Amino acid sequence: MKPASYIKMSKLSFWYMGIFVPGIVLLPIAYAIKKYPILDKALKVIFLYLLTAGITNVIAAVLAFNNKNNLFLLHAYSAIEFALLSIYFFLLVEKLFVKQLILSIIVLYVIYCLLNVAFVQRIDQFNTYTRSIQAIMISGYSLYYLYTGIGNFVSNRKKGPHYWIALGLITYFMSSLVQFSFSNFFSTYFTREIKFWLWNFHATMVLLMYLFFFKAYAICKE
Amino acid sequence: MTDNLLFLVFIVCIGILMLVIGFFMLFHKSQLKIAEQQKRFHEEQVLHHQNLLKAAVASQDLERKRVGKDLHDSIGTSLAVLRLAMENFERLHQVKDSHLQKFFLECKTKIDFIVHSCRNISHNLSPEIFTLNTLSESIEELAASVFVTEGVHLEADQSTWNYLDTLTEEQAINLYRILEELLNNTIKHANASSIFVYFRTQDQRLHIKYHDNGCGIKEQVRVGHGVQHIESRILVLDGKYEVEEKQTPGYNLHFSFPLNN
Repeated sequence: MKPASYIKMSKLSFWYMGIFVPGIVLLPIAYAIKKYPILDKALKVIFLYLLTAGITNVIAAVLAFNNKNNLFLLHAYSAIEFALLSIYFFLLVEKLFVKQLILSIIVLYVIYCLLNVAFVQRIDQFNTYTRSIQAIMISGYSLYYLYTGIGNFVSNRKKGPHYWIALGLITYFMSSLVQFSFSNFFSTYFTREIKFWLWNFHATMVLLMYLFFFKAYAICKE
Repeated sequence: MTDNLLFLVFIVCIGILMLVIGFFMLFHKSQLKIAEQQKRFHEEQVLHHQNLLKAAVASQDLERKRVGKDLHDSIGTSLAVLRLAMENFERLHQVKDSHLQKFFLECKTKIDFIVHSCRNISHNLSPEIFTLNTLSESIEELAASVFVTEGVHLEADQSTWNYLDTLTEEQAINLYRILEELLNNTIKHANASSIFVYFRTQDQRLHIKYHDNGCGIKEQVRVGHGVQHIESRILVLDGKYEVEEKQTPGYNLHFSFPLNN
């Protein structure tokens, strides 16, 4: 028998994590559609990323409603998400060496994901080894981009939206790094209540990232 | 749960370290950018101020030249015509009355005095250093004038005077005005009997040392309009200056400016 407050909280969490936060993705998507003709290639890649995230969330929610394990989606989604975000930074950076490095990292990461799912972490487990590395890599890209463009984000209106996107990515991936790394540990050893709190925190970080993306599309001008 | 926690803790530590170092580098670079922007802004402000000053000084010189020319050409010529008219009147009407003759003489003397004053004022307003005289000749004239009117002996080192006459018109005017202002200050405040001016060229710059044997500079003179005027002119020449107070008694000023300005 669960206490009433717990049931209330779990319902709230369900709506917050399952409906509200994934639904917020529609905000930047709507703005991106509205401004699609004036978006540069990199912003179009982010639009594609948002679409992928939105569709994956819907599929994951449907599977969860039907009491089916949806973690296999996470394995595939991680590789696609990483590839898309890497392509985004590939389009942003100017140095040829860095571009080549990013392409190599994409290939290596996809191989790493395949090896991980084949030999290390089962498809019905969290892919902590790949997801944590992904978080570090995306944050590294973002920090590098912010470092190279510092001082130009306000004056250069073409770079302004990318500043917000890089900030959104750092906010989400760095704040979720611990969770990405210890998801399996938390699932095994933490109580349901603590896990709720942690996944609510994760959802809030996703929400923040979507709001940052929304801001990026909002300030995007021809 | 089959995860290797040690590996995952290691990854998290790497991530946090990267974040800390990344933000430190971002902060450091932003500080450098801010400092660089502030420096550029300051330099632009100085340049803007200098350009404004140059424009103000140039317009002042132009106005002085115009007033001087008008004074010389218009009033001077009118007075000369008036004097001629009086002489013609005297000759035509054969003025015999002694009172009238005395009156005419007084009038002509007054007219001569006014014409002379007009010429002096006109010359002061607009020295003929770029029309009739060279800069070195103008300085010689200035020295002679100071000696006659104030009894102050101005001695200038003439060994490098040939450089003075190669200066541009703007440089020549400014240098002349600076010397004029310095002389004015010495005469007014220093109670000096002798002034020495040395010219020297070094590293494509003209160095000028001004020295008088007076009582030195006083605080009220240090911040007066005359000194500001000198500072402005030196700034217009892209020059530097230094008041050497303790070397020898009297007032010592060293200033220099680039020759190829």
